Amino acid sequence: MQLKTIKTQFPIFKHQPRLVYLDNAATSQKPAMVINRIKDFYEKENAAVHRGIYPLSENATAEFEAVRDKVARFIGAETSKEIIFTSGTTESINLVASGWGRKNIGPEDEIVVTEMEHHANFVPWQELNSNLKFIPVDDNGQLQLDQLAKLLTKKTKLVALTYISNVLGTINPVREIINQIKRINPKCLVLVDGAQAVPHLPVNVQELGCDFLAFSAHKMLGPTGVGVLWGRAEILEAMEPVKFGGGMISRVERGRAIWASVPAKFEGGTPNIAGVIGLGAAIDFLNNVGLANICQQEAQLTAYALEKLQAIDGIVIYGSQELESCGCKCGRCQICKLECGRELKLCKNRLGIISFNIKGIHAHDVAQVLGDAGIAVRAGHHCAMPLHQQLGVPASVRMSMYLYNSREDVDLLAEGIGKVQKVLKNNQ
Amino acid sequence: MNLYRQNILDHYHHPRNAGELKDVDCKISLDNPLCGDLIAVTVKLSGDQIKAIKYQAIGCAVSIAAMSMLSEKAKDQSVAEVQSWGEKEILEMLGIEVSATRLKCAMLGLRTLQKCLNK
Ligand SMILES: Cc1ncc(COP(=O)(O)O)c(C=O)c1O
Repeated sequence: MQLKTIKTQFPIFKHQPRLVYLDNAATSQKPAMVINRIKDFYEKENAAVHRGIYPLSENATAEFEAVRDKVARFIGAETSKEIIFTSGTTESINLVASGWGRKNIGPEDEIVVTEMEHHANFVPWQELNSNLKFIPVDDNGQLQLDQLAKLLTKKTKLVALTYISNVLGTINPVREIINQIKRINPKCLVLVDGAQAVPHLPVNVQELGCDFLAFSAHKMLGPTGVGVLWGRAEILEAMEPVKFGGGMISRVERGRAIWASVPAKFEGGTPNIAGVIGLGAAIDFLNNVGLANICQQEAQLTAYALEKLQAIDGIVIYGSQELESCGCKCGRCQICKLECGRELKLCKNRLGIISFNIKGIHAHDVAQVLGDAGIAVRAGHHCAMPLHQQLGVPASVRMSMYLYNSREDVDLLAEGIGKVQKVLKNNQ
Repeated sequence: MNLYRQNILDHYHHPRNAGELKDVDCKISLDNPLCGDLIAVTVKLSGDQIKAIKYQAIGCAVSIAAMSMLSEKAKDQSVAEVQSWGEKEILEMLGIEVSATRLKCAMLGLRTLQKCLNK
């Protein structure tokens, strides 16, 4: 699929023809295929799942469960029962913190996170246990992995880390990190926050070697209100449910209840049926384009954006700004799972999220002037206050790209920043 | 919407009454952790009247311009009068429309001043 034709499949750009959408790390736009699938479901197929024995409900159940299979294949899970539908990454991580953490993490135990975590992969652990340790981030936006051996002890029960930073765009070498963790402490579990990774590059849980993976449908072309927690079957089976009610029991007596098996045990209440079915359509769309292609095209576009932004007077860009050319064994093609050998200029170790500040101008003012010009970026701490403390700024401007963005969008952003400087620079 | 009208930019680039007073009746700083804006206010009273205000501010154009204009508006007013002000007064003073997210920036100055006068 060509870039131009991809963009035409997103109705928002028809209704907002001047929109330059660069806030994809917050949420992605939705293709007609996803919107129509949800509309069709409500119009023609709507019924509750796992309940009725009439054809409409049986069909809805089959469609719903087919998405579970699709998600399992999409991330390389061994069986679909390892896929739990939640409301998003936040709920997925909280489910692990409550269902697994409360039982397995005592007051003496330790949890290791990184300095670049989103609050969703930080606050749940802080609530659970006060012995949080941080893998630091260096000036180039990379995790200081030489600290790992020192941070991990026999008391470490869990390492929770993001695959891709939602501020710096850094792609962490998760597979190598997990290898190292398991070598030091084989009993330590690893949760990967895949919110920014699963939409943008091929992710395979077996290859990564993690124990949990959390991600959100709305950042990968799907609807809001749906997310996934993947966990190893044996861990999920030993985990406690946290939502009690219908659908999650196998038998209820007056004095007690017996839990249903995995994954139903964790899905109490009527789920977001249409949302899950929408996620299925989003995965079909991504598979049609191919995540390898998305990943590589984004790496090229990010390299272009870095060069374009670096040329702006007074800009401070956070994280790695290194570029590499694609040749055999470049890291990128291993990440994207593409054949090497093409002559492409790519960004190194990062994906299409770039945070920056313009000297002398507050991030809010930058985003406001850009917003008034039709360019959607984000300003603030992006739910990563500890990381911003480390960067030494209270707030930054973040642009983040996806498969429908083009060089033209980057050019318009650069032009827009010029306008910001004209409006707000002190030349009176 | 044009947040950056000339008078706003003028106050942002040339904040009135910026600085710090000595021998003050009240002194306080308040921040908005969400965006890192910080305002430190010092006030001199004469009886129930505000005689002088100075402040130091780090922040976006909206929060600084609002504080600057407020420092002029509140001078010679009674403490009770300033304590009665709210969003309506600040928006009238700015003369612009402010979105819900930016309202917090616009209000930081007044919140700081009111907290200062409370002490
Ligand atoms: C890295 C990361 N983790 C977690 C989240 C939380 O995702 P959600 O708000 O969909 O639960 C986000 C998104 O904002 C994110 O970027």
